[in-house]
Amino acid sequence: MKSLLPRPGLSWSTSALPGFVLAILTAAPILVLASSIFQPLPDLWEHLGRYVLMPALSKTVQLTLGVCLGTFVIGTLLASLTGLTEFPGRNFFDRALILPLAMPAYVFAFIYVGSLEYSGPAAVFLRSAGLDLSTLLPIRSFGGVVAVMSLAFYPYVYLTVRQCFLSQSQSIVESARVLGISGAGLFFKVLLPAARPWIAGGVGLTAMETVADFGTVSVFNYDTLTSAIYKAWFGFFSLTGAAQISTMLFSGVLLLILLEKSFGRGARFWLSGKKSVPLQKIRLRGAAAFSAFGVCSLVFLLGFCLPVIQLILWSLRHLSQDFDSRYWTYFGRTAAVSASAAILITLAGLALAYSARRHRSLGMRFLVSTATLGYAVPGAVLAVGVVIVCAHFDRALSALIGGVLSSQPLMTQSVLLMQLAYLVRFLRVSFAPLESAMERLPVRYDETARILGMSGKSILAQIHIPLLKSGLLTSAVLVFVEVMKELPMTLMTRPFGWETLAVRIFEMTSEGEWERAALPSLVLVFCGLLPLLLLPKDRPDGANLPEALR
Amino acid sequence: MTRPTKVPALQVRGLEVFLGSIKVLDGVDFCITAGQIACLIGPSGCGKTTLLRAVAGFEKSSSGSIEIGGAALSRAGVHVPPEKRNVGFVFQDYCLFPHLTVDENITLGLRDLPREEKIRKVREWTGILNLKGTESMYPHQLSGGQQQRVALARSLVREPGVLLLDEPFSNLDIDLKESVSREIRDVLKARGTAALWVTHDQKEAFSVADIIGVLAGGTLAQWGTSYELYHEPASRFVADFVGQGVFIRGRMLGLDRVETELGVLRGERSLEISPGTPVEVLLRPDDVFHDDASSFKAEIVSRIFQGPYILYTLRLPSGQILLSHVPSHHNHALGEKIGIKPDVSHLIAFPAA
Repeated sequence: MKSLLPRPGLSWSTSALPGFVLAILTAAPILVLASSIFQPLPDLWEHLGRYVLMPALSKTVQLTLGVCLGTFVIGTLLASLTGLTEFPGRNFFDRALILPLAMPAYVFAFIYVGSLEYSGPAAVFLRSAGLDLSTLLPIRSFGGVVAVMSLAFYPYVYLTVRQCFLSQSQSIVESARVLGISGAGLFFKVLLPAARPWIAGGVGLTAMETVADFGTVSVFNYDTLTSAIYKAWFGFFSLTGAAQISTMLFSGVLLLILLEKSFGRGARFWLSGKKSVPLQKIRLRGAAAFSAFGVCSLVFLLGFCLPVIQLILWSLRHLSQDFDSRYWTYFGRTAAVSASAAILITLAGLALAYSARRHRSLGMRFLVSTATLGYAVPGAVLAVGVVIVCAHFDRALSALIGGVLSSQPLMTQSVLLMQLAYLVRFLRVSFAPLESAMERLPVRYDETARILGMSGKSILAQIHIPLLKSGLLTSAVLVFVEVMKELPMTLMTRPFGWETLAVRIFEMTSEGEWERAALPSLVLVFCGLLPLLLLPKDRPDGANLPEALR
Repeated sequence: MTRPTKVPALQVRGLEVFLGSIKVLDGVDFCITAGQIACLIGPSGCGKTTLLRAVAGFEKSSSGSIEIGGAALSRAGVHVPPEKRNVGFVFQDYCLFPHLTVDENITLGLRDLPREEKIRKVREWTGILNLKGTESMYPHQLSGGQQQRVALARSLVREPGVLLLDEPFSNLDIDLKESVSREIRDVLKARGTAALWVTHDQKEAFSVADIIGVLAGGTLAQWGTSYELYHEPASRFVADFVGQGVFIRGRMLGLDRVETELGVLRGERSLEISPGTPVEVLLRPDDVFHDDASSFKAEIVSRIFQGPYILYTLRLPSGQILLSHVPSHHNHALGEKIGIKPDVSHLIAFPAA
C-alpha cells in the first residue's frame, strides 16, 4: 500500500512524458490568451468596449442567471418527482427525462425559433386556434433564450440531484421522523438541503455550458461574450481582440469553478455505506399522481418528442431537394474528423492515464489537472488560443526552414489544427473513463504478472488491454459524439470552406433556413443518443454519470 | 540455529530497505533451507510485508544481500527484477485476473511450454489442490477458499525456488483458515517447496511453520522454532509478543533461581544474569497451577471458558495480576480465592527496567 501514496517530486522518465507533453499542449493556448492582455489595442477597444463588450457582458450575466434559475427549477422538480415519489409512468420518465442531453442546444434553438416565429408551423397552427404567440410570448426574446436553454440544460441538474436521492439512505428520513419532522417539512428541511451540494454541482455545470454557448445565442441573435469573440475575430479581423475577450470570459469561468467548489462539492454529505437502505418512495395518488405525470410529460414532450418530430417533418419535406452528393461529403467529413479525433484523443487519454498510474506524485497530479483543464474552457476561447499558438509555431517553422518549403503554413487552417484543438478540449472526456477503468487494475496485477515472469509487452496485451477494453470503447464513443456536436471550435479552426454537419447547421440557421438544418441535426441527435445508451446501471457512487457530472 | 549443509533455498544477509526516507528493514539475517517453511510474525508496521516484497524484488535494498538457491538477486549494485527471480508470491487478496478463467490464470506464467505440457500441469495442480471442475470458471464464480487455491496453483505450477505468502488467509473465515493452512503445508512439504509466510496469527504460525521469525521495528528479534520462541524467548519483547503471560517482579538468587512473592522459582537452565539483580519473571498461564493445598491464595478477577481449560485472571494480595490455565472441571466463581502454585521449568527472566 505504501507505494500507492503520493510522493513529492517527479523524476524524468519516458512514462512521465505523456503527462508533460499533454500538460504543455493545454497550458500553451491558455497562457497565450492570458498574455494577450498586455497588448494594448486602444482603437479597437474603444469601439468594442462601447458597442460590443459591455452589452455582451451584461447579456451573458443575465442569461446565465436566468438559465441557472430555469434549470434549477425544472431539474430539481423532476428529480424530486422521479427520485422521491412513485406514480404511473415514473419508471419511464426516470430514464426518458435524460434524453434532451442527446440534442445540442443550438439544435433546440433553431427548432423553437423556426417553428414559433411568425410564419413557423407551430405559430401558424396556434394562431388558427386563436392564440397569437408573437405578441403573447415572442420566442425571440430574453425569455425565449432562457426557456430554450433551460430545456436543453436541465438534465445536468436533473442527473446530479437524482444521483443524490439515489445515494441517500432511508435512515435520513427515519431520523428526521424521530425528530418530529414529517410531510413537506421533510422535503424542504431535510432532503432538499441535503441535496444542496449536488444542486450546486448541476447548476454550476449549467452555468459553464451557458457562458460557453455559441450556437444557441447566435440563432437568437442574442449577443453574448462568445459572439463578441467571434465578431472581433471574423468581423474586425482582430485575433488579439478576440484573445482579450476570451481571457475575460475565461476568468469568468474560473470564477464559476471557484464558486461551485466553495459550495462544497468535495464535501457532499454521504450518509450511505454499502448496506444502507435506499429512500422509500412516496406513492402519489389521484390528483397528485396526475399532476406529476403531467409535469413529466410536458417536459418530455417539449424537451424531446416535439423537437424530434419537428426535425423529422422538416427533414422529410426537404429530403428530395437537399439530400444529394454534397451530403455524403458532410457525413464523410464529420465521421472522419470525429473518428480520427476519437482515436487520437482516446490514445492520448490512455497515455495520460498510464503516466498518472506510474507516477503517483503531486507533480504528476498537477500535470494531469493541467492537461485536462481544457474541458472547462469554452470552445470559442480555446479555439482562439490554439490558433494563436499554431500561428506562432508556423512562423517559427517557416523562419527555421525558410525557403525550403512553400509559404503554405503547416498548422494554421489545417485539419491538424482542428485535431489539436479537439485534443486540448476533450482530453478530459477520454481520460476520465480510462482512469476509472485503470482503477480496476490495481498495482498488484502488475506485480503478480511480473512475479509470474511476464514481460512488459505481454502484461499489456494479456492483462491491461483486455481489462481496459470497455473503458477504451466508452471513451472513444464519448469523444466521437462530443467532437461531432462541437460548433464554435470547428467553426473557428476549420480549413476554409470545410463543412461538417455542425457547421452546415450553423450556416443554414444563420440564413434563417431552419428546415434545411433539420436533416444534419437529426443525424447529430441520433449519434447523441449513443453515449446515453452506454450509461450502465445506476450506481450509488455515481460512476455511471457522464464525466462532466461527477 | 544449525548451519545448513546444502545450498539454502533463501539466504538473507544484513538486509536494509528504505521506503522513501524511512528505514523499514535494518540488518535482517536469516536462512531458509530447502523444503523448510518459515513464518514471519510481528506487530503491524514491523516490516514483514516489506521483507517479503524485498525478497520478491518489488523493493530495492540499500545494503545487504538476498540469495535464492545460491544465486545473488539483490546486493550492492545488483537488483534482479521480479520477473527473473523464480519466486512465487501469493497476495492477501489473491490477485486473480478477473478476465481469465482458472485455467488461464494458472497457465499465465507458463508461456514457453508446449500446449500439452501446460494441460498436463494444470491437470496435475487442479488435482492436488482440489480444484477439479473449476477449470473453465471465472474467479468471481469461486469461493474464497477456491480463489486462494487457484492463486497457490498459479504460483506453484512454476516450481518457484521459494514461495512467498503475504497473510494468505486473512480473508478466510476461521474454520476454513485452519483446514486450508494445514492443506497448504502438506502440499508444500510433499513438493519440498521452501516458503516464507507472513502472518499476524501466531496460532497459524505455530501450526504451519518449521521455523518462525519475529520481526520488530525492522530488525529480526528472534529466529527459531515455535518451542524456542515460546519457552526460550531471546528478549523481553519476544516473551511479551509470543503467547500469553504476565511479568512479576523478583530478584536473582543464583543463576537458576529467582525470589518472588510466590516463593523461590527454580528453572532447569541457568540465566546469564548475576545474582542480586532485580528482574522481571515471565509467568505463562501454564506455569501457574491450581493447588488447594498451596499457601499462596489469589482472587479470581475474570474467567474465560476455553473448552478443555478455563483461563483465569487472578489477583494476588499485593495487587499483582496472574494468568492461569486450569482444567475446565475446576469451576470457580468470580471473587473466589483459590490456592495456586507456580511450576516454572523454563525460567524466563529479564533484568528489570
